[in-house]
Amino acid sequence: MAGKKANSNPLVTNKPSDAPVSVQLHPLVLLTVSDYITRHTLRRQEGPIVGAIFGQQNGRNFTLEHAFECKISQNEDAPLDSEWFNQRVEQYREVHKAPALDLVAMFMSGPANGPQPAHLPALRQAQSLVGNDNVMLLLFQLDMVDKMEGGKLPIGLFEPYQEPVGEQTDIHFRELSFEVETGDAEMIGVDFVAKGGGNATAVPGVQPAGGAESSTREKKTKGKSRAKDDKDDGEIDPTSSNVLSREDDELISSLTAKANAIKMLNQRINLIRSYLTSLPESYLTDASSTTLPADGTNYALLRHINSLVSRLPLLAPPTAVTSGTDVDQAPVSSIHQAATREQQDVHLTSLLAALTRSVSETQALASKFHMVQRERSTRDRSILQGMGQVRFAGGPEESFEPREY
Amino acid sequence: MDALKAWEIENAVKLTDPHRDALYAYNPQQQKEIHAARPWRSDPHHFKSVRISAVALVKMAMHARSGGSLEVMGLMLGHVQHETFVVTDAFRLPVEGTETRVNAQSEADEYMVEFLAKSREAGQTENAVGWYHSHPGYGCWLSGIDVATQHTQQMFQDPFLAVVIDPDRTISAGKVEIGAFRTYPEGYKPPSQPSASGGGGGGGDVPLAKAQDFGAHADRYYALEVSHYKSSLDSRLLEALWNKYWVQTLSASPLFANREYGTRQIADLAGKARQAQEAQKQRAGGLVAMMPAAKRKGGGDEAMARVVAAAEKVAGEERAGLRAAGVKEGVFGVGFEGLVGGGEDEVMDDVRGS
Repeated sequence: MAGKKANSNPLVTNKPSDAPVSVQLHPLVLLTVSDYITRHTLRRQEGPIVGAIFGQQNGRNFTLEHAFECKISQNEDAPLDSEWFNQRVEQYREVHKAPALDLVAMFMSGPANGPQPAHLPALRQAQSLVGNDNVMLLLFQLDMVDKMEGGKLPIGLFEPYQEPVGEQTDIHFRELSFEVETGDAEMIGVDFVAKGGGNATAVPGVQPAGGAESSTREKKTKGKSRAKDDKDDGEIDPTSSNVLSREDDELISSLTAKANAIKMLNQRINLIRSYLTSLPESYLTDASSTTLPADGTNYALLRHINSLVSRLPLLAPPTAVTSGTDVDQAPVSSIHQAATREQQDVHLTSLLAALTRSVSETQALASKFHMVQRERSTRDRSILQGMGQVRFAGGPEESFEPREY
Repeated sequence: MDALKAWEIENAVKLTDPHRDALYAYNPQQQKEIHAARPWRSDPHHFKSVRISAVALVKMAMHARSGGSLEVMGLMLGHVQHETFVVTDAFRLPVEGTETRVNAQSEADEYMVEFLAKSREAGQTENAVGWYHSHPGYGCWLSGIDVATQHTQQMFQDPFLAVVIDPDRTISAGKVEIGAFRTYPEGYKPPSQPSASGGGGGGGDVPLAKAQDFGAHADRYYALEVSHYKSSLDSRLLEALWNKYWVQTLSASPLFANREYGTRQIADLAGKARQAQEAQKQRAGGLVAMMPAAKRKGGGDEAMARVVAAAEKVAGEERAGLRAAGVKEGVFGVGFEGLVGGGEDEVMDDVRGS
């Protein structure tokens, strides 16, 4: 990440860690920080941007899941209000018991080249308050927001480590890489927010009041008409300008999301391919080749690609143990069996839904038929009484409107 | 420190847009005036819509989901603007509901007061504007207890808002199922459309066990229009995030994740169908001739129509899940043929070829 630029930063080392750390960052943390910065700025609040991040720690695996801002005291050496901080941490622990979350990092804003001496007091204080020297530092790089390219997030994550210098120890930082990880509900939430166009302009007074009212009214009539039209396919609602039904809308949005994801996958694969083709021919595939690999060859990246490619066969699922009876049949993988079963279940559900609809329609037909029948018999009777011998023989279509006669 | 502070301010200002992000500002003076005027006292329908911030929405959705089949509950911070609630943030309360209801207990009250005080000290000066809770699997509406809770809150803490989230349906529908409600004052009769408008979701979605509860209180509250907002910084981050989390869009497996919910829905549907059938039988048993035609039509057909709607909804959700599985299979799957005879070689060939 910003590691190369950070060479000039005396607080950051490039020394690789003995025990690699894996960190999973949840989008909610980012949103919270962003929310905080926006609010902080617009309300012209004093003080630096400092907050805490909650997550799970499991050995050398960390997750960063929730964040909250911190109250700042005036003391330069201990910028956090320690009483406030302790109570707040306790409050968060209380509502995040399963799985148990604890303080794993602090967030602050900082420049792209990494932590500054000014970040140290708050971090040290947080570490001593929770009694954990491994509290990490997440820097929100305000100056990087304009330079986000290829999905690089404007944050840097730093792991502190103590380096003994003579008598005392100094905090140094090592930059960590992280992955973005989302829970299922979180993903849907983030996706929902990302898709919707709503920006945060103030709510204007009088004008939208009418608008909102009419839209709620529309909704109400919609609800009403839907209740009424349910039996004759209330999909197309005449009151709304939107001719798509809710199901169609959902279908379209889910397919669009999938299409975008596939496009992204395609882009990534193409990126790898074009990178590989840009490299000189390998002498492993062409023994006569004498070109040496260029100096700048990124072996780590090549190894990554290689391991990715060698993992691909795992996509072919393992085959299930074939039972003795159908030896002739090709072995079918258990995952395929499961998929087929799943598919059958879904089709069965659809079939049942269709059946239910047919039953309901048949019922409607029967009751209509019944009505016609009854109408006819009463009319027959009245005709018989009133006109004597003339017998009415109207078709069922006509008898639908008996009042015309 | 001071240099950093100056740098921070300069950069942060660049990232926000006072006009586009106006909802993030907060004017205590103005809020005080609104609270003094109390326009919602005279008009039970005063509030028409809710705007929920990105953070609050994601927090609530995650909280609801984390509760599993238990109801969870929390509070929302925010302010009011004209006829709209603006929800800026949400936090959890340490209350675990039973299967069917959520009730804030006194310990939660204490937590709430403490938490709000701490937020205020840290610069979130808004007041609590509402509470949220989850209805796992049975849709967004207010139960009798919810109505009572909300009614009390509106008496003593107005403006106050109730938000309901259904985490199970959120997963199966792929979008956040959320509803916002306010109750009517005691004795107020809504002008028209009593039942269908209240629940927002419509009667067909409510499970059998809850149907009575749903119907009994539907005319005591109304739904507000829910929308969400995000800051300009949020939208830029979200754009960058999409580059990170698209993988999940492909790898998610709704059929598998929601199997239990699907089964429950089908069981519920079966119960409803049985009910409709019973009703049908009763009507067929002789009473038919005596009833006026119009009345007969209303009862049975509507019950049946609801069953049909619910059945189609279940089927639609299942199909959506299958489609997701199908897409995954199409993109990553190795076909049957490939598997049978030396599938690995073929894959390797493909890889080498590309």
